[in-house]
Amino acid sequence: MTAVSDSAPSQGDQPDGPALERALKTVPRGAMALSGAAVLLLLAAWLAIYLFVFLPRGPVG
Amino acid sequence: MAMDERTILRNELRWAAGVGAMVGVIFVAILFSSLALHRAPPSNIETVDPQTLHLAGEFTEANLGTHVTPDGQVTTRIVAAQFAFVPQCVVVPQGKPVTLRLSSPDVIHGILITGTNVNTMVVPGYVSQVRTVFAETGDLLMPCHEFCGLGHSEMTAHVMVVPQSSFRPDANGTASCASR
Amino acid sequence: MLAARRLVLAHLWTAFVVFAAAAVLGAWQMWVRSPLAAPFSTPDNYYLSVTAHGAAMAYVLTTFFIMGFGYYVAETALERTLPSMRWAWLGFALAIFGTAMTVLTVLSGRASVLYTFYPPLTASPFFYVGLVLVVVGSWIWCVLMILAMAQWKRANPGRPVPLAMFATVSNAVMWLWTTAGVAVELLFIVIPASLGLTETVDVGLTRTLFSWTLHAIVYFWLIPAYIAFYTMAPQAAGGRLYSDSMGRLSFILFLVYSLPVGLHHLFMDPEHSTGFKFVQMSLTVLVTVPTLLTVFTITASMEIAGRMRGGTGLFGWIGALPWRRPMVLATGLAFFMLWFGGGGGLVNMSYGMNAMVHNTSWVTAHFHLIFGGTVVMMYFAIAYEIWPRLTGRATQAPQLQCAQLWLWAIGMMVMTVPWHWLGLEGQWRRVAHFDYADPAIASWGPWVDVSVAGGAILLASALLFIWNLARFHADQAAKLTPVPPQRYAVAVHPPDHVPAALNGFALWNVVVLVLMAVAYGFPLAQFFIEAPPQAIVHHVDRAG
Repeated sequence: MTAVSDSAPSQGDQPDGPALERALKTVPRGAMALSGAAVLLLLAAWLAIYLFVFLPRGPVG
Repeated sequence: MAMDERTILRNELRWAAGVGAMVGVIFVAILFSSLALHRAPPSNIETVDPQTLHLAGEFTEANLGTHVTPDGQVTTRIVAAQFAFVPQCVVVPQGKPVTLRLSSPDVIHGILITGTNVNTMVVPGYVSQVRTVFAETGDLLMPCHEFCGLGHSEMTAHVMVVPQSSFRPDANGTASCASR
Repeated sequence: MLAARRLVLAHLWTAFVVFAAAAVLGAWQMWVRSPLAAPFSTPDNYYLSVTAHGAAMAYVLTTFFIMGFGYYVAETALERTLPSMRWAWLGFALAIFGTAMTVLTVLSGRASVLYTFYPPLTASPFFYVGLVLVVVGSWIWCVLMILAMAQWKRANPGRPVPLAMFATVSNAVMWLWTTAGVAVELLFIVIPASLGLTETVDVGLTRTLFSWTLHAIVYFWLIPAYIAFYTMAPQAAGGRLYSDSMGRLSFILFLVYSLPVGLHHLFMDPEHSTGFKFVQMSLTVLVTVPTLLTVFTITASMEIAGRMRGGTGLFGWIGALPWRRPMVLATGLAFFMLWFGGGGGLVNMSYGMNAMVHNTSWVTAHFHLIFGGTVVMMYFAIAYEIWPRLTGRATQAPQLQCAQLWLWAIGMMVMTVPWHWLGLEGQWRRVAHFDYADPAIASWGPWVDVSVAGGAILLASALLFIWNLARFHADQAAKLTPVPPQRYAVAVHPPDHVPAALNGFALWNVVVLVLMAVAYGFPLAQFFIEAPPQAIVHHVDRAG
């Protein structure tokens, strides 16, 4: 755990050493999960609008 | 280092592949709807002189509104001008292909018809053409949706979609809101 | 202390003061559109306000912020003074003189043509000349940014340009390409018409030239926010940037794909064929990629920081992040709004689907959320981050800064979510007065009231932002705390060498040229090959 205050803008953190090594063992599993979920949800929302709003409103062209 | 550059790159490429698949799905769905389901941006390029629009040709007053040809083609012609549509009300049949044709003698206008995918800009110098089929009956709102000046907010028209049994053009093929 | 300190502050204060005034107008406009009776509510006043609000937010807030922030990055990332302070001040002088000219003309009622100013509606020539001067001032900035990077490269052969500056210059190069469209439109067509030198105008040509600028300009606005994502957020969170190279690639993809896509603003126009609309739609699909790449890279960077702070599990690192730091909070809120704003953009880009939403409140919701939300949120965060170094005073009340950011995000969501819904219901744009007595639209009233509340929250946030910045200047006690120099995020693997293609723009300019020729070549040439009938110029600045 760093000792730097939570609310002060970070200037004193030293992003090096054992903490970084440990973190890099798991990264980017969390990012894949979060970004992946967000993007899949986005695709689902787009498909929902496509199928349930756009297509039923009839032809255009 | 626990994670070397190649691993980072591999993860980024894996993510990029996923992203590519996702936009690929969207792209295919768009392609399908535009080619197979007739849902595409209206793009019929046809010019007309805005300065003589009302004097001669297709958009003179007698031709405006809904007309049906002897072989059953329904065409609705509307002029968009500051700050009203002419005619302000048109009638169209439910469930049959309708072709809307619009133009402007002055500035840029635009229309949408609520509850449908009908949407087009109306640009002076061009005839805008939209083809659609109205699935539901009703009195639909057709506002001017592009800023055309101080009276823009008041510029609206109505589209009355009636069952085919109620859609009775006269001997000339003309159908209007009053006489339907 | 920063040599360009006063230059940067001049630009940023101009941007933010104009922003605050425009926010007041925006809140009033929300009120006028609603069922609630608003004061001074006439079409004249409304469209004057919409023009002022749009021009201020789209042209003044943005250009001045980007120029000021660019000068800041150039000096701090490259650790050298600017190539020329004199030219920089000249650029500022031109831009502020042009801004005054345009704003005063709008306020006089002679330019209520909105910030898109589509002919044949034509305003007083001073409206356009003012905008041209702003653009010319910004071109000086572009040249200075390019020169700064070139000089640094000569002094540091073989070394990678610091990412923050590489991105800034990618934005400068893109801006030069972007402004070509509107510059040609204004200089050769619209200004002559406004002066009465011509009486008719080719409407399709002007719309197409403006579309050249209209999409890429939003990426001009967006790049500084992404600079903060890549080079400030990971640092603020206490972690590392996951990949420096992906950052460079993303900025290059923005440069290449922001420009040849403007026709997607003209999907519903009758002067272009399906063929070219389809080509530009396909290119628009490609411009979603750098954003989607960024989402992952920045999330991974934040994950590093969260795990270093002790977060565990698949999502536990999220809670472990230092959310009380404004830059971190802003990044989270910006990404949240990006889901909605970007999603709305995906709908807009989807060819036939555009017919469902074009010129409805959905579009208004989209750009307020993606620009007003995600991008401006990061402008606030950047300001809070660099103000200590601009004023020589340490941050005093980060809680107030965070409160202001929360208010902005909440206000933006409350304002724009109803607009998305109303857009699908058919509510159209740029309306000074809705007849809520009409049964067809009566149901819209309550939703519009909700978005009025959102607008009020935004106004409060905008004023709090100004207050938070002003405090720095006034706060005598804060002078005693030393302010450390600007530090940019460090990558997990800081590169000692990158390929030339990721360190400069020679290749990419050629790619842009080719893509623009393919995407815009015929769509523009067609107006000369067979000139369509012209429309009569409609002067809004003349009586009768």
